[in-house]
Amino acid sequence: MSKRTIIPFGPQHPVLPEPIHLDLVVEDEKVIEAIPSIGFIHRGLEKLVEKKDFIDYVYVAERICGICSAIHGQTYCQAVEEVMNIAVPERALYLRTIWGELSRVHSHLLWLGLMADGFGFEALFMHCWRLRETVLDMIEETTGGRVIFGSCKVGGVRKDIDKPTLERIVAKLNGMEKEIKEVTDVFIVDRSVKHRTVGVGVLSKQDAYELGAVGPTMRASGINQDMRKLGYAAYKQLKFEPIVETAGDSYSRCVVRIKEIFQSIDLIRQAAVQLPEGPIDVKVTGTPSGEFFARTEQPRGEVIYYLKANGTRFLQRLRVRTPTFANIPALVKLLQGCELADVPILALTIDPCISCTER
Amino acid sequence: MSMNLVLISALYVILAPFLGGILAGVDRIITARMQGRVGPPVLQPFYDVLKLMQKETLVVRKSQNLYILFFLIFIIFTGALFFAGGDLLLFIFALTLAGIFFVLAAYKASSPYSFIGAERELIQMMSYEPIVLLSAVGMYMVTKSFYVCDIVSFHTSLISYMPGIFLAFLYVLTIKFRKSPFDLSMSHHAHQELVKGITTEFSGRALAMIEIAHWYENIFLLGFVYLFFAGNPVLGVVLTLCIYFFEILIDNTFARAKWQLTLNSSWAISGVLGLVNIIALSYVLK
Amino acid sequence: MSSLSKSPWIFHYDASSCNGCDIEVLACLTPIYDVERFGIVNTGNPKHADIFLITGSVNEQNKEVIQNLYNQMADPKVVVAVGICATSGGIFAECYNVMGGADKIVPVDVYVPGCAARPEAIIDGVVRALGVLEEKRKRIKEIAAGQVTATIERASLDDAEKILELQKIAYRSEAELYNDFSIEPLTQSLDEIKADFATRTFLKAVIDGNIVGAVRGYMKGTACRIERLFVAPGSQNQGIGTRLMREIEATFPESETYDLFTGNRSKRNIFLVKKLNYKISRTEKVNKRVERVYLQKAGQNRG
Repeated sequence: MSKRTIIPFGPQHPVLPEPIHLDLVVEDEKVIEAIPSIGFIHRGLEKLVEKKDFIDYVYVAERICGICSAIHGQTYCQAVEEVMNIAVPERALYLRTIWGELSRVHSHLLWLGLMADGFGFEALFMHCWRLRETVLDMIEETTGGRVIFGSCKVGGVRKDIDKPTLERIVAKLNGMEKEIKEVTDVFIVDRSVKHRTVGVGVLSKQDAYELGAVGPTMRASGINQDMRKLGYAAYKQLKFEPIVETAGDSYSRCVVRIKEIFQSIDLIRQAAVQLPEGPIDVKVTGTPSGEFFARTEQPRGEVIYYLKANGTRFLQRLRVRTPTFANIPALVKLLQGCELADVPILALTIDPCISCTER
Repeated sequence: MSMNLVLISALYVILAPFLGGILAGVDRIITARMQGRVGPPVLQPFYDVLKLMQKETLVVRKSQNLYILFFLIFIIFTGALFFAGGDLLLFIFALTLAGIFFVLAAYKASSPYSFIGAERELIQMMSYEPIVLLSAVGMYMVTKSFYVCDIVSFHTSLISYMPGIFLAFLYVLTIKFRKSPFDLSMSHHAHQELVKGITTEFSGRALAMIEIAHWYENIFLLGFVYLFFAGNPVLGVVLTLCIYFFEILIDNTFARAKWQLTLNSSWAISGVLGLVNIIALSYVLK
Repeated sequence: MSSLSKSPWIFHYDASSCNGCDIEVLACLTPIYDVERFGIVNTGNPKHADIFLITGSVNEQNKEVIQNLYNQMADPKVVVAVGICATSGGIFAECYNVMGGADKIVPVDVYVPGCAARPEAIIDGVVRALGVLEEKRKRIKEIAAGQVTATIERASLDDAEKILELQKIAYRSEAELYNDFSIEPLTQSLDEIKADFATRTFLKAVIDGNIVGAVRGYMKGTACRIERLFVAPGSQNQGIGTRLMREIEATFPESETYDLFTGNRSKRNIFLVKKLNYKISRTEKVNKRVERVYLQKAGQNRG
């Protein structure tokens, strides 16, 4: 008769930088059940729409999460622009796309590093983040911030990227591709990494669909869906296909994200070539009235912004459904029956962003 | 035991922490360079230990630090015995006893993390015991003695008789040095699922003692490696240091394995390479 | 520079942060910034850490967690609030669930502003924290060596919680003498001690704003009863106990006698009060394990 112990995992935990508390019911290093306890990052920022002007709120929206920050801001702006019927200039749409894809590259590299650290491969973590620094340099050069960009605003973007800078960025990305390939090959080929990821945490296509998983978590289980195909921002002019894998284990999720890094670099190249001249913003007058759902593809999956406006400068209601929120049921399912040593890997494999989830 | 051996043993007790600390410092610098960083100054481990001595000691139970003291004392005793040319079998059992004290201390600290860390430490011990014993048996078969002083003064390098055993020993050396892929119970890397594993509940002086004990341990482990090359002293020392460098390289190129893989692969390799070598020796030395 | 500043181990907690500052803290460990050059190690264990980095505006749920983590750290320790959210609540200061910064829960030594705080700023903050850490270490040594005098003053109801906490810590050693952990000082509740404030005079000994000792007394008829004299383990043998005794006696100058009791095995306590001219008046068995010794001293006023 083996003993069951309850291991408290979090909220302060060296593996996951964010506080989430899981009570793991463990028997002989096998997890029987995982009981989550959340609420450590809930700030209640949705209620801030009542206090902050709808133009200023974009700064709060960006700070829902520091990693997916750019696309949060972008989605908020999109939602408001649709409600107010503002036609954002083409150049602004392309610039938003470029920053969105740069944000995706940095987020996936960050995730790869954390994964490596999660299974004790510190050297790989260091190399991934070293590459990420180059991307952050590009972002800092064009927007002024490393993690919080502050680049989107209602009606367009705040800063422009001139031609020489853009060419330099594309050239640098082209140069980085080889280095990134070297590092990501370790994830794909290395035996000790595969020992920790292949066959670990399999999410079947049926489960992914029923539990409502989104993003790479869903695409690694064989569901072909990517919000960017909806054609918002400049995506309708860019050529790409969603990356889908079928095995549904941690390895597949890794592969999907790695391929997405290269896809993003390709998208930036395409956008840089097609970038039209023109203004980067339009003047915004009046106040929003009506409601709208905006859906975009964040690095972690689909994010939905619902907003309701009543004609004043303060929005009546804002509701954000972030991708990690949708992935948590899938995570709880994955944790049942796994081994204790796999818990951090599985938690990381859905790319959790608890601050997004709890707002 | 001659005066020389007592002298070497005394030198070990006094110098090993310094050598061990410098070795640990070099380890960190090489690891940092492999990761594209600069790394700490080479004396950093000494600063760490000195700092730990100055910190408040927090305990879950009063007795847990007493066990750590015993752990340190027995490690020193094991090493002193080894360098005094003593009995290999006694050395192996003293080492095991020291390890048990470490595990007992973690059990006394009774937190979920230290329990699991202690269990993993026991699994690690089970993984490397077979080959360490087989090494001693192999050395006896070749040199007809269990005494380190005789083994060291044997005319040929033992590696030429025991290549299989040596390779298997190299495999488990990664476990003993607490390096990836086998750093299951505690790791110097921050991010792992068990917080700091077996050392979670120790702070201040106790943690300093654990660190110093590991330095002593590393030195006599390297001494054990040297035994395989004792026929040619200069080459032996060089090769031993190369082996340590090789371990650092392994640490930086592998992810952490799970305990089943550690235990199964250690026994499989010890079994195959070790036993084949022993059987071969019994024919060759007839 | 002592070895403390050469080997500062940090430990980081995200208290309702958006993650931006946390990522930058992790970025400090990576190749471009590499804080290991300064001997800084990111340990995930509060017991092993010297510097506590807090990010985030701190919501209600994190209050206890932060308090818990701070208490688990070994002295000397410093707290660095990273990012404008940890400093003042940042852009979320008006949210309903937000407390408004780390210094609402634990004493903060260094504030690093920024949204998100850049790695260079974080490293700068940590280096400043090293200076503060050094000062604290020196202070702890001075206090332990008895070079710092405590001030004795009246305690108010606000001090009740701290005094109770210290009482439980200080009386543990008493309980161990008798192997009886059900003695009253260890089992008193916060409400009970608060009620005591109404009927008894509390005196506290303070060093650097921290309570290191306390005593209480009240009049019963013409006699003054003195109770629960204790000094924190780190500040003993410095005469604080004796000073507390003298002060509480001076608070009730009109008493005919001063009475107190202690356990019969508490040799040090008996020695302390005997030096102040107390004599044993009687003994009484409380339970199988504990026997009390009652001591008494005649007052100035023998009316």
